[in-house]
Amino acid sequence: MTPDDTVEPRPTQSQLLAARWGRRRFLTVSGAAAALALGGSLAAADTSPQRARLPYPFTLGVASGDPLADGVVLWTRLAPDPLAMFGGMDGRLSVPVEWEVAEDEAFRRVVRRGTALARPEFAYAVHVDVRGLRPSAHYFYRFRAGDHLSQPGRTKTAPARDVPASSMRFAFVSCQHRVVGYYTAYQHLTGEDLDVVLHLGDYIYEGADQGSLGRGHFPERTLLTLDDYRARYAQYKTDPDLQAAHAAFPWIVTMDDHEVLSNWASDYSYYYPQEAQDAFVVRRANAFRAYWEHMPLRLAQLPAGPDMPLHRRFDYGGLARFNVLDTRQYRSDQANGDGIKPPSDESRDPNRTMLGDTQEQWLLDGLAGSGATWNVLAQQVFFSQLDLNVADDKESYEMDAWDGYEASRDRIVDFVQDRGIGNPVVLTGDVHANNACEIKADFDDPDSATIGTEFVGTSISSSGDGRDTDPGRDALASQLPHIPYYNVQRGYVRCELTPQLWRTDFKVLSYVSRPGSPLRTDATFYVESGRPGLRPA
Amino acid sequence: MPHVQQSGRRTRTVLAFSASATVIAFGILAVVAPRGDSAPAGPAPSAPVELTAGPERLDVAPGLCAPSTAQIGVRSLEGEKAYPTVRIDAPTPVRLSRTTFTTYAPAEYPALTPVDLVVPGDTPAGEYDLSVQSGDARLTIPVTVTERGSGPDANVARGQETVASTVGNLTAACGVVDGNHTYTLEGFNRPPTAWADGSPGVFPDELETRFARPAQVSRVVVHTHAESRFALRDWDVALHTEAGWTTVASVRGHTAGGATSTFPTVRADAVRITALATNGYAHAIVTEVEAYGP
Repeated sequence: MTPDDTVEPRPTQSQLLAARWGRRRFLTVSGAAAALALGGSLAAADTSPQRARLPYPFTLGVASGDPLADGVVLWTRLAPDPLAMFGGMDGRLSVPVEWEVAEDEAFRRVVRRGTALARPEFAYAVHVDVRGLRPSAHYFYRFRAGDHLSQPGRTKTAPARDVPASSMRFAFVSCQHRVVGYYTAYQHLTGEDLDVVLHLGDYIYEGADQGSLGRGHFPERTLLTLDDYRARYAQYKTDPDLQAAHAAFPWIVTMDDHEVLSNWASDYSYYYPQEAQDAFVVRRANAFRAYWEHMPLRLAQLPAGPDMPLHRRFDYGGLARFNVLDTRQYRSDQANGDGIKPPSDESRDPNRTMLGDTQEQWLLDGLAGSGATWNVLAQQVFFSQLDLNVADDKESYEMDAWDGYEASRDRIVDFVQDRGIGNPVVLTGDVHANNACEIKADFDDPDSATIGTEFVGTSISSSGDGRDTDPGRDALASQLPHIPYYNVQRGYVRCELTPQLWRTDFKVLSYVSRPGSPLRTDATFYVESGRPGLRPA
Repeated sequence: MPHVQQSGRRTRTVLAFSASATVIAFGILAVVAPRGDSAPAGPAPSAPVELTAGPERLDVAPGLCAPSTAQIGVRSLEGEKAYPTVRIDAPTPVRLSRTTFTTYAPAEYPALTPVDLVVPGDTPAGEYDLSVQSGDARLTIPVTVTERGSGPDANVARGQETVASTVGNLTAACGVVDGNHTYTLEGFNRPPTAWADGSPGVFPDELETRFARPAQVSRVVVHTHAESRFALRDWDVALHTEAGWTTVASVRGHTAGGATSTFPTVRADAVRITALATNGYAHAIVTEVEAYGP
């Protein structure tokens, strides 16, 4: 904007966090929290001193997401004191936030603008569902609240459905445990030329751990209440590398387990039965609400209590259809008590489900009616069979992954094969490792047809530095011919699609325990349209 | 006057904002009001709720490492989805793990939020009530601060403020003054019962307990892991006296379980354990520290 704008200097991340950091775990009520005014009636729009005195509120950055051919969601949250209740806002009055969308970075050609109310019941998050934009177009956006102007974000709409897109580029990421590593991967990702970023879950972690990097979790307890989850998202979102990656591209997000609690399944807690289902459902509702508040999602995804309709679809012209899945909310409880176990009658029970009946049917319908060249399943847990038992004649599987839901996987694989679904590609997070897999019609028969491809992306930071190879995994290689590649360093995966060819680059860092790692491409694979399976570079 | 200046400044910046919007009126695309505007109207933060507490009244022993826990229940009295905010006021010197929280509140049953309450070790016995509020709902939780045992058999470290040089994941410094000698990590609604340092392979590590008031001390018992491979091997015991820190005992070559150090009586207000070496494990583990008079 113009130089004479009154924009106060933006506080740094360390300044924002320092004030809170010194605080003792036990607060006396005479502390800042006591100043919160509670109750009262809703949301007279601000007129008032809160706005005039508002300290810099855009501490969590800006974001855009869920791109359509004619629109995109813009997001920000007012949080002058990001780790405080209501982000340091008064918790009572709504605040108007002006927004604008322009074709140019200088905001001379503004094409849409308006005012949204940042409401206390959504922790002063703002979600603007902007429509009427042109397809395949870059836009710039920003917000203003009180005297403060946000940093600008850049976004891009999807191509029109009826126009054949010639190419697209995207990256997918997952698992950003801030305690154990820096977000260097996002620095590199921000420099890419991408249409969209997919986040496949574990955006936050729910524990109380502090680690040894000075990136310990706030609040220092396992998350339970809505304000706990809000503070954790706020803490994660103060990271400048994460903010930059949000500001650079639209994101399409889905959640895995750590947005709620490790390895939760439908209404079963990790702590079940100590944490009963009634109690866990409250935790889940708090987690869902905070997730929606902090992600660039539409109203259609707004949770009602413990239910959040998160699975949804995105079309990039006729080139690619992204089926974004939720493999947590509707799944059967993990079989055999979870963990790595041999298969059993329980894990192979045909009534077990990973997606729930409704989502499963929605997925199959979306595959059948696609017409797109590439049919993507953007989801969380390892899809291909992964026998973790070194002994050739024994099997052990991760009960939390699709191996623990064989019947559910078989139904999808059979459908793809029977209906001749074109070019299915599964994208996966969760395991903090890179893998390239060929999806077999029958995983127990290595000679069976390859019906699709799975790319498993490593973590942004979770599990720390990692290493290129792993002795245990090397020992398994001979029994995993359908998984010719793996790596356990940190990074992201970049994909470039044309009607003829899918290219995947696995981008890895040397370290995340300190900032500044260089990035390298560890492996590149191609998939040719109409020829399922991996083709190395 | 400051308010007027603020308003003036805001007006100016808003004008600047509008100015750039005006420019595009000459551009290709018109500025149109948004179709799908943003934040939905939700239930008010002060939706009617019912507040409960379990237990209905609390006893708390003096000592910053001796929390008592109240489960605050919030149930929605409306059919719609409610996310009320609750505030808890406590009289000095009561300290709370949460003074306010927001939670989903179902209509069918209360959402339970645990709130830990502690008082300093020198807090006089008596009644200290908590008042809980959400919208128009109010609840009082009577709190009784109990007497701390003071006879010759009293462990003056029990429940008292304890800090450590570093703290390992799922353990807590307070775990060494909880009367529990096991090595049990943090679990669901269950505090850890022991401490391990958070700096693997690095020694020494320190653990310090501050008594409620100066006391005569002639015996310190340190409990470590019951298995040798996890047990502490070498440590020093120091007491804080008017003359400063004094090392009163050194334990060397310990194998498992724990050891008692006796020494001439000292008047002290704190005890410090300096962990020097283990029997091979990367972390120093202490499950309990006790201090007694003659």
